[in-house]
Amino acid sequence: MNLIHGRRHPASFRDSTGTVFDINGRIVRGLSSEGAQRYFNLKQSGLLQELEQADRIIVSKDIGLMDLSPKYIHYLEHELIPYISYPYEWPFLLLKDAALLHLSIQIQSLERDIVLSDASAYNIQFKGVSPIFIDVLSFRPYKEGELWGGHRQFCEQFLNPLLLHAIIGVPYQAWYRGSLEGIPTELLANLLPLKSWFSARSLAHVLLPAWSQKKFADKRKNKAIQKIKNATIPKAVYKSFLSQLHRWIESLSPKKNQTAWGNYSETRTYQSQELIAKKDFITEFVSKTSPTLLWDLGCNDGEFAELALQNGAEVVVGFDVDLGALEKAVFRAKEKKLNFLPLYQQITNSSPKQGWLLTERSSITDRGSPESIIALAFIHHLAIGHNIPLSEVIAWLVHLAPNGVVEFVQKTDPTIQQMLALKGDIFPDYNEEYFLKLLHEKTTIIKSRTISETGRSLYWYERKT
Amino acid sequence: MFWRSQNKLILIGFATTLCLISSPAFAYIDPGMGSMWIQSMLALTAGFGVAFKMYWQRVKLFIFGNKKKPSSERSDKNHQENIT
Repeated sequence: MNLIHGRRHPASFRDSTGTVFDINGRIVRGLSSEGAQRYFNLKQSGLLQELEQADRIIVSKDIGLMDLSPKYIHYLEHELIPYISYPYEWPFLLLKDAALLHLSIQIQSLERDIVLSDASAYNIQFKGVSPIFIDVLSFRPYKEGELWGGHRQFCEQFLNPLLLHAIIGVPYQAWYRGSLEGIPTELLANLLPLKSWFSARSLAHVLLPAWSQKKFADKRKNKAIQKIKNATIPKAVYKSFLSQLHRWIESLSPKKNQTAWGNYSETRTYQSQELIAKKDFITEFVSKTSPTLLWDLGCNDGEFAELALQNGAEVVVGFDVDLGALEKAVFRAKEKKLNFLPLYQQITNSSPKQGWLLTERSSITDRGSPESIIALAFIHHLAIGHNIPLSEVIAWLVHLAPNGVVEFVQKTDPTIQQMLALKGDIFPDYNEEYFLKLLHEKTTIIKSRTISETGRSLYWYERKT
Repeated sequence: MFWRSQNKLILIGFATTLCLISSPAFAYIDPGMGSMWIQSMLALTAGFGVAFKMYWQRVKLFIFGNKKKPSSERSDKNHQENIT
């Protein structure tokens, strides 16, 4: 049963001044009279144009009236984002860039007496690895003396997750996915080390807000609460608050922790001849298929994603579970300005449908199907590393996209031997003959090639219709 | 350092910091008491900082006197140097 009223986008229900509608793939936003007033103010101020030109905000086109809801007096149509992603999938660098974008837009807006009404990380998306702000209705006029109402939300959705990884060394992604509104300040405060009490920044943004939150939970403190509610701050203090937070976030980096695949390009177990053969194979595959959206499963540091983009893929979304490798992938995409978005994803437990009505946030497959996939040195991690039956791995892989390249790694390969060393060989079905039988059942094999002495092989397949 | 950055807050100052005007509505998000409290405290601290700085300048002036030449004198001298 569809419980969503009308054709609104499942995530668009918080703001009473407007709603986003998904009209067969077109993204349209309806504005109430207050929303329209805010939007035209933003336009008139010149800020919208400035942000659009700098590629910092989604492009909006006025389309006037539509027959979607009597509440709305004006509609906008937005450009489409190649692939929607969520903060709990972003590697550290992407969440950091999203946070910096939010703050710099706030600072820029304040100069024109405009502020953002909230600080939701879900208002930011990525084109490649460049963050882009997507909510034009978040802008409203600044009221003299007002406090930054979005501070708490900013901390919970941007700052606290970053601090969790930067100071404590715990990646935030799993916690964030289970707590869609972010990492609560009160909980982070319990985890920060003692030395944080000597850091003015930690005190100002985590420890003291957490302490006072508890203090004011006491209803007997009503008078004090009223006083705080009426407090005002000068605009300059507001701006300085944003700027110093910007400087702090700029200085953050993940607490050093050597990951298994972070140095993959330098330490991989196969030889350069194999690498050349692999690159030739992928080059040919991508040049022939020219996918609009390609998924790189187990993208590592993005070496093959880059190759795919150089040879005809329009957009590549990469998934990996290794945060060290993902950081390198983000660096690569930034440095070479690639249309490549590396995301954190544990494929055996990938991002589900969740949030309100289990539709607010979509699963990875509901956000756009890839036209092609590459799964290089990947399926043995599912079949052997996670005990997933090989038949299910192949069925899932083929179901994802009409064509792809999959690599089969023999059991005798050093990588698999290492995996089996402690686990023991309990995988009699994991062999190339059975793999091929499964692949033949569901696909037509266009091309195959053995690329290493250990018998690693690549298969280019097309799904049977 | 964070507190050092506060010297940019020489603006407006303490007197205007806590004037009571009606509080603006925070749209549809809950700003949280903790967050509001820390912001008002920072504004207060910035105000105190400004007040203290101004007061300290006066104390220094009283103790050490004005060792610098008045700016008008300096500019006259510069002007003379330029034309000679």
